[in-house]
Amino acid sequence: MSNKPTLNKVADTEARSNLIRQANRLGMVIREEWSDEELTKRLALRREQIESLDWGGLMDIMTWAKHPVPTRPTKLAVAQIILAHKRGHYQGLSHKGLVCLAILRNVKIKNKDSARKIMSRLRRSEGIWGYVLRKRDKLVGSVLSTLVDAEPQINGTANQSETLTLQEHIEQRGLIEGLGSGLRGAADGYISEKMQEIEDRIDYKLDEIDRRLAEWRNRELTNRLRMIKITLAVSVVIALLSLLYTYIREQL
Amino acid sequence: MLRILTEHGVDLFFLWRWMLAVTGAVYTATRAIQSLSRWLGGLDTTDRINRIKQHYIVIHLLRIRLRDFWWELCQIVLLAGVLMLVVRMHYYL
Repeated sequence: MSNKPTLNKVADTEARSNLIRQANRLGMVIREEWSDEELTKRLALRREQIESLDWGGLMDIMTWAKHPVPTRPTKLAVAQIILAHKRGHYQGLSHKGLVCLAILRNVKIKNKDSARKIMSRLRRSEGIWGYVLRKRDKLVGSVLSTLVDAEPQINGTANQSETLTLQEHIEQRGLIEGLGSGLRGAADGYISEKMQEIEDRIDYKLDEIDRRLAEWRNRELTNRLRMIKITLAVSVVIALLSLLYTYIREQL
Repeated sequence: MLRILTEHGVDLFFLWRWMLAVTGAVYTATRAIQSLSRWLGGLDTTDRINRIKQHYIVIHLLRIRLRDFWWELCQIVLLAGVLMLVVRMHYYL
């Protein structure tokens, strides 16, 4: 009997933490005073807001971030990827993309704002601490990529994300995640390269088997034809003997 | 024995030729049927591996180029022609 309120409390806490997790993933700013109902309502509004974003703009951001598009892309999935992205300089990003990014990062912009203005607002929204962290990541990335590997990561496929340098990985995802991502990219590249090598070897072996089988078939066919030829030649000789015999018999 | 056969008008060479033809024909037909049934029995299953084998064999058969064996084929045609001619010549003697 006395367990019921405790269990309910645990369930409530779990439900709330689940809501908060979802809200965080969608880049929402959460206030403590919001009740569960309020949070659910605002989550639904946020989802609607993301669904109303321009698809072209979202794809521009993915291209700019050099991030591969998921196999079955939905706006929500793409938005979550973009929100996990920390890249701070916005050169090369289209106006549509900038507008989408500003909406996703909860930066207030006006319809008439130019690209430069939106970039400025986005930078300002990071705050001084965000700016310092970004510069730190850039510096660490630069130092590490000089020490470890200045070249882009090994790319076995035509995947855009694999052309990122270690510095870019660290700049975009922070030191630990960036290093992990860089290493993962290198490992993926290595594995895909090895897989390609194995596939090439298998193809070569299959071609070799096919060629040998064709040779064997031709040899076998030639042998059979030779046997027919020998049989016919012997038959002709016997027929000639028979002819000779018949001739002699007729003469006698 | 030989004399008896000759006296009864049995041509020994004809007998030998006839026996050789019958034996050869029976032997060839038996071996051909055996080989054919072995191939068909081996491939006449519904499992995937044997179906792949069937397709592969068909592909290999289709890939045969007769121009690779033109000399052997010409010789065979020539010998067959000569044989028919020699057999035909028996009737003119």
